[in-house]
Order: sequence, then C-alpha cells, then structure tokens
Amino acid sequence: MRASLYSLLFISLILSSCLLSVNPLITYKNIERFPSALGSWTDNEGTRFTIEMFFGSSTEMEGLTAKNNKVQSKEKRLAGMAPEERKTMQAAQLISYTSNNLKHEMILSFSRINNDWFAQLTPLRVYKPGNQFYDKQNGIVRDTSTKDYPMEKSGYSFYRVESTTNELKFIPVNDDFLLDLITKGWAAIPYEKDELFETSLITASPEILVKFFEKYGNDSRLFDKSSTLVLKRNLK
Amino acid sequence: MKKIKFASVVFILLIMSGCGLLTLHPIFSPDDLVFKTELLGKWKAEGSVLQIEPATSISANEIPVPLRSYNKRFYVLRQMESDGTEKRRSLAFLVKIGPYYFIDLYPIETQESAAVDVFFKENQYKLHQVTRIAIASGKLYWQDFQDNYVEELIKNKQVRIKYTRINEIYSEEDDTNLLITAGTKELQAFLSKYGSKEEAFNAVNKSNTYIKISGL
Repeated sequence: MRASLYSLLFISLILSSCLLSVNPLITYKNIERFPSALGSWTDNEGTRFTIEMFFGSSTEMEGLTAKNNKVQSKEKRLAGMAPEERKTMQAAQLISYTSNNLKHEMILSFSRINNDWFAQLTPLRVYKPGNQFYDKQNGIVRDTSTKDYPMEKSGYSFYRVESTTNELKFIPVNDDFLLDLITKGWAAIPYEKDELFETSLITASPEILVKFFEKYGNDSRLFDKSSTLVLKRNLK
Repeated sequence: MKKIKFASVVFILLIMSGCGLLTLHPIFSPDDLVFKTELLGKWKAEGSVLQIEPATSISANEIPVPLRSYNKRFYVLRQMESDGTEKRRSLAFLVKIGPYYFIDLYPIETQESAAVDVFFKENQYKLHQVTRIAIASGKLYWQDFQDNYVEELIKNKQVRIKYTRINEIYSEEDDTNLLITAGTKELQAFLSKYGSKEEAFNAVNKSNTYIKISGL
C-alpha cells in the first residue's frame, strides 16, 4: 500500500502539468498501430502498467458479454463495424494500472506526424474489480464503486514518444511554452481560460491540432523532458 | 447516443451528455453572489437528499484560490441517495437573474472520488451545471434544464451562444456533442432571456420538489 501511494504521488508529480484538450489530436483519420508499446511495463517507482489492444480486451468484452449476446469472432465483429470504428478498433490501445485498489483504464492512441511518434491519453474508467454490473437501461456496464460525475469530462493529453524494445518514454507537452505561443499570438490554437476557477482548456479541433503538431512537433521546446514518464518492459 | 459499438464500450464517459445545462465558464462573478440562509439545511425529495451548508464549513483547500475570500457568499452542496449514500459534492453559487434564482454547481471531491488516482483525474476537466431554483411555502424547487435544450437551440439556429464541438476518436464530427464555452456575461444574458421559459426546464415533480427535513 505504501509503495502504491508513493507511486501514485510520483505519477501525479511527473505528469501533473498537462494542459488538456477537449478534442483529440489522434482520431480514426490518423491513428496508427504501435505494437511495440504492448506488454507489461513498470515505471521508475514500481507502478506496473499493462498496455494491450483495446479490441478484444476484457474491458471491451465485458460490454459485449454483459448484454448476454453471443459474442461473434473478432473478424465478424470487425466486418460489422463502420470503417471509422474498424480503423480505430484495430489500432487503439488500453493502458491500465492499479492504485488504491482501483483499476484505472485509459485509451492510448498513437500517430506519426512528420515521422515522429506521438501518443494521446484519455481516461476511460476507474473501477473496483468485481463490482461491475450491467445497466440494461443504458446498455452499458457500470460499476458500483464509481458514480456518474456528469460535470467531469474526459479530456486528451498529448506526448512525444521515444521507444526502444524494452523502454517506452512519454514526454508531455510543455504547458508554459504552449501557453506562451498561444497568448503571444504565435500559434492560433483556440483555448479557454477561466480566471475564477483557474482552469485552462484547449478547444482546437483535431484538424488544427494536427497542423500545430506538424509545425511544432519536432521543436524540443514544446516538450518537457524533465517530466518524462519512463516505462521499462517487464521481462519474463 | 452514438450508433457505433466503440461508443457502447467506452461506456461511462459518453452517457453524460444529457445532464441539463453544462457550461465551461461560471454564470457569476463574485459580486453577483447571493446568500440566502433559508437554503441551508437538509432537504428531501423522492429519491434524493440535498444537504446545503455554507462554504465556510469546508477546507479552504477545496476552494479555488480566487474564490476563497468570498466563502461566506456561497455554499457547499452534498447530493445524496435517499439511503444517505453520497452521490456528489459541489460548490454551489446562487445568483439572481431577472426574477429567477439560479444555482451554479461546480464539482469537488467526494470520499469516493478522492481514491481515484491524481493522474487519471488530471486528464478530466470540470464543468458547471446550471439549475433554476425557487423556495416557496417551505419547499425548494430544483429544476434542471431539459437535457440538450441549449444544444437543440444551437442546432436550430435559435440562439447565438459561444460553443465548441467535441469530436470523438472514432467517428465523424456531428452536432450531438457540444460544449458551451460562452463567458459569464453571455451566459447571464442567455439566462435572462431563457430563464422564464418553462419548456426549457424539467417540469416540477416529486423528485425535484424538496421539503426541509432539518436545519443546520
């Protein structure tokens, strides 16, 4: 427990400065497969992360089996999807870790922009394993340990990715540099700032975000290396 | 609800679109705040209980820094199931616009959400929920905006209010997912115009008519 709390604190410290976007940078239009991220990983403080394909994961399967539907083969399910969904399903990944006995799951997506790899994270759900139940009215799996918080929405955070076979680095965007670009009018990125509640949000469309990363994605000033999340592959 | 299956699997996140009027910015500036002591106490309706206390009853750390010096002018609200289970905690800001009172709710931690990892939470953003209230004959009427009322006005070009479209990873852009980004003045002008339209709000019923069951 102590280690878990410590790692929780560590994660919060190293990745606390993300300026969120309400829109994704990576969509079905530019999502790409990144198989080298798949596997079991540990960060410097001992937190274990699992990265798997979202399609076929237990999380995706829960949604299907809970409905008491006969689950079709992956191939059949893919064939029945809209092209946008199919492309997303074939590339989107699920990253999960446990903290405070709660399993945290986020959708992880990758894309290459000007030959550099970028990652995008967005929260999916938090739950206490074993507490899920099927909500017939909404056709979804819910969890007794997490409530609906309609006033809290999932945003997107973006990272530059560096990887070797056994190491994966997520380098977050440097908020100070990005805000500087925006407030000085050097980058036309729509964003909202609420002084009273001290919140800032990027509201640019995915198309604008892609153009921005095409222009600044290889500028080292845009990324905060000191806050890099370094994952080491767990070797069997 | 989105038609494609990915959405049905990305469950909890996407069913939140219909929750009355949600805005990115508050509907008030500190000078607009109204404090009515008759709101304080515990209120019960069919299926839920509200507990309203002054914001001075919570730690200053739970209040955004620019608002801390005004903590005698707003509330902290606990929304509970009828069995007493805490559902949500919010900072609650009362504003009078025209003849009507509106509450701006801004979420703060519950005991349950406090266990969620910080990194996960920092990838979420908070919105304000706007509700019209009235107190009459010892009853508190709590009327949320009809789900998607404003979004429909926008789609039908019946209102001009600042918003942005929210895209999903897996689908073409559509008009079903809008985020109201209007600033405080614009929101107040909207409420001034639409606050009197009964069709904008959920009808009064047993689940949104509260009776005070105890004082503070």
